[in-house]
Amino acid sequence: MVDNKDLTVNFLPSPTWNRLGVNQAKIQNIPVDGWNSVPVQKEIIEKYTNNSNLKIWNSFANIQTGMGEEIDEISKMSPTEKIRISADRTKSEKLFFDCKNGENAFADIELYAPENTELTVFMTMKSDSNTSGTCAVRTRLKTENGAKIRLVQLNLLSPNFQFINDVGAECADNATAEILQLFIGGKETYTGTKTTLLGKQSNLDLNVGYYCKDEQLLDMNYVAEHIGKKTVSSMNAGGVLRDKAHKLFRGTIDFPLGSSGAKGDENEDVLILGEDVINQTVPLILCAEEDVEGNHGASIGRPSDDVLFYLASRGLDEEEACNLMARAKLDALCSKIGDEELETLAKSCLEEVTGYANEKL
Amino acid sequence: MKERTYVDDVDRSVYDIKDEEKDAYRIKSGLDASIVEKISEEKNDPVWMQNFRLQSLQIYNELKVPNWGPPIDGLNMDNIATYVRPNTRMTAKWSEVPEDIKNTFERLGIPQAERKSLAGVGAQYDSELVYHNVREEVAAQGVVYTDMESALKGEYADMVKKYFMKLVRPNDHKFAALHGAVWSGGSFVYVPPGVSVEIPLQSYFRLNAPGAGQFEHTLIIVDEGADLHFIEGCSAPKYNIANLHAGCVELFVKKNARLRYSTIENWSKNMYNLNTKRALVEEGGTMEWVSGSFGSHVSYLYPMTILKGDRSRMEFTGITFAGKGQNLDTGAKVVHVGKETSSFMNTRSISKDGGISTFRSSVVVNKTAENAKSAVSCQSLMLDSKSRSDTIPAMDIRTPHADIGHEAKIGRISDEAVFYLMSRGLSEEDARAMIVSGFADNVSKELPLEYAVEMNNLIQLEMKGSIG
Repeated sequence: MVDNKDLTVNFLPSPTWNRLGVNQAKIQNIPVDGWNSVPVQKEIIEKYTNNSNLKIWNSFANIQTGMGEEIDEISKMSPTEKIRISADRTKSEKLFFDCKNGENAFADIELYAPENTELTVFMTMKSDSNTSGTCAVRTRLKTENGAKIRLVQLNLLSPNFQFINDVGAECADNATAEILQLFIGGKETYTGTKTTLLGKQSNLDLNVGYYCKDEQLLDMNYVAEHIGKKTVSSMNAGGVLRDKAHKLFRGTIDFPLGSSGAKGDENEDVLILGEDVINQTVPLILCAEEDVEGNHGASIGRPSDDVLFYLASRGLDEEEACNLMARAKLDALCSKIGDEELETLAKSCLEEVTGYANEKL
Repeated sequence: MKERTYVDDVDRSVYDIKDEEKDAYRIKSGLDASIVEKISEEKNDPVWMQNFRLQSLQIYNELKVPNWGPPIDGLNMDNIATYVRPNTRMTAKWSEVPEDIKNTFERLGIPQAERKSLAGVGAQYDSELVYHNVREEVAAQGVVYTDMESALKGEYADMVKKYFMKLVRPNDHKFAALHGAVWSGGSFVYVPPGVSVEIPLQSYFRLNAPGAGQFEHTLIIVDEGADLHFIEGCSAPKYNIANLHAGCVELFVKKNARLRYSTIENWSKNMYNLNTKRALVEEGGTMEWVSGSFGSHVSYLYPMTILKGDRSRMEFTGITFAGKGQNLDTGAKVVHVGKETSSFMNTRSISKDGGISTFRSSVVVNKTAENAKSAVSCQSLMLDSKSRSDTIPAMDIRTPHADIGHEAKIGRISDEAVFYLMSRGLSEEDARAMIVSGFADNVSKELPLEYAVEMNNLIQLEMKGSIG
């Protein structure tokens, strides 16, 4: 009898040397049985499950996600109902995932913004300290002409949790997907986001922050596919690695034929503060269209000597200076969350993991 | 009417000279132990080399073709003759080289370049060297520049055995194993401690036989404090069947030594260029790569540098121009091992007329490489929407004490720049060619003048007929 299985996810859209170990990720020992339904608030479940009256929901299965098709395996093992949220004119919802010790939970979420509407969804994944389990979430977004979906995801899980986060977005003409992700908690995080900019002048604005320490693993795969003309993508990732943390960032800007006038930018800024850290960065630009502009940049290392000298002249030793830099990097992202309660929560979690309080900033 | 066909017919003919394969020895096509043994026999290999070849063949049979690069389905080893020996022996006098072969090298400008600007030349024709010579004053400094076969069996036999395929091992990848099994020809260079070779050495590789492979091995050792510029050129006439180049270059740069390795690769567009180049740099050493890739149907080419010694450094400057029917996957790799090592990659790639250009790189900084610095800059230019240009860099950093930067850009020729040049009297085609030449300036300025001129001519040639 097979109790666990492995899933292969986060495929690099154009693979490179196998020995670098970046072409895909393998999630090992996913339990076959014992998956629970969505661990979000009761009222959200009551309000948004069985919400299948719109024909549009049928098309969500075709939205490609960042982690790939094998996430379907978890979906098949879980008894969960889909949570389907659509916007009226403007709507904002907060989903709190309260993950329980020893449980493996999966949530399948679909977000829809009809023409000229705006939908904001906050997802906060939390668990009590000294608990372990798996929290898996698949979120599909569809934005119609002129619409906007804002998705904010905060991984504040306790240090023994596994987090699997799969996101797929499709944008019609002049539509916008704005995605903010903050990864602070969990032992292993696998996350992938694919945005298909189908309509002309559609936009992706992606901001990702992370703080990894101890033996945390963060495996990321971001893809912006520019199908429509004059589409724009901006992907910014940055964070801090300490101790024996291992982070792998894959970021791909894809300009297929026909995406004329498209622009794509991606950037990663990594602060390494641990002697045993593994930092892997793979930023791709794939281009089959002449009339496009693509840029990517990466900056990896410690604070420069000039910065350390300046902070030393203000009385901070190197350790304090590095902590301050780390907090400052992530506080900037926290301030973009757009919800005071969640911003405070994220900052307090950050304070807990960094050991560096806000007042010192 | 497009001018390119006309220009192609005229200028490409320099590279498209086809000599008749008269009285040459050609091993039967395919790859098995009997063929490898026959090559060993023909070359009178020492026993260790015979065994090495057979072990490499075994590794070749066990390894799979890469699953990440351009397709190489059109390459069938059953149709490739791995050893073709011209009907002549190696000589140090051009007058003794058979007339047709000599004429080919004359038209490629090799003897003229030797007289004007080179310290020594090796000319390989199919699987064997036909000419090898080094200036007396350079030889008098103790510089050894000879063909690999002579080195393997002569007074440098122990040195060859010590270094041969130790940096690129046969199990590195399938085509390194293939090279280990059927290699033939190539050059051996040793520069003694403290010797600075003022003008470059050059090896030129010419593959004339249709349906053949060229597997030359280049082994260069630049000893402590020495300095060398080595130039490698290669070309072949175009045939309707696949040819294969799977050479191997191993470079050892000792303490405080410097080696510049320049390549202008202009294989014909039926060539599968699956070449492997690697350098090991010791304390305070410097490795400089200058690479221009213009030819081949398919290329896998990523010179790799291992910065083993503290304060060693590397620079890679490259340009790739992929035109019609070409899929050129090029770039560089570097591994930082020593402290305070530094690397800089600066590349340009141009895609045109359905060509596919891929920049692929890896920067690995080991835990031991404290205060390592690395910067990668790659720029790609798309000249039409029939073409493709991909950028696939990877970084693996395992120390906090490193400073790593990376930037890449992809785009097109700006209309404003073309308009400006046209307002100064240039045709649109000339304006675009001038912009592309300027884009490639990072490489051409690193080359000796004659080679920079050749590279600019190649760019002009490729750009003709690009409008309309």
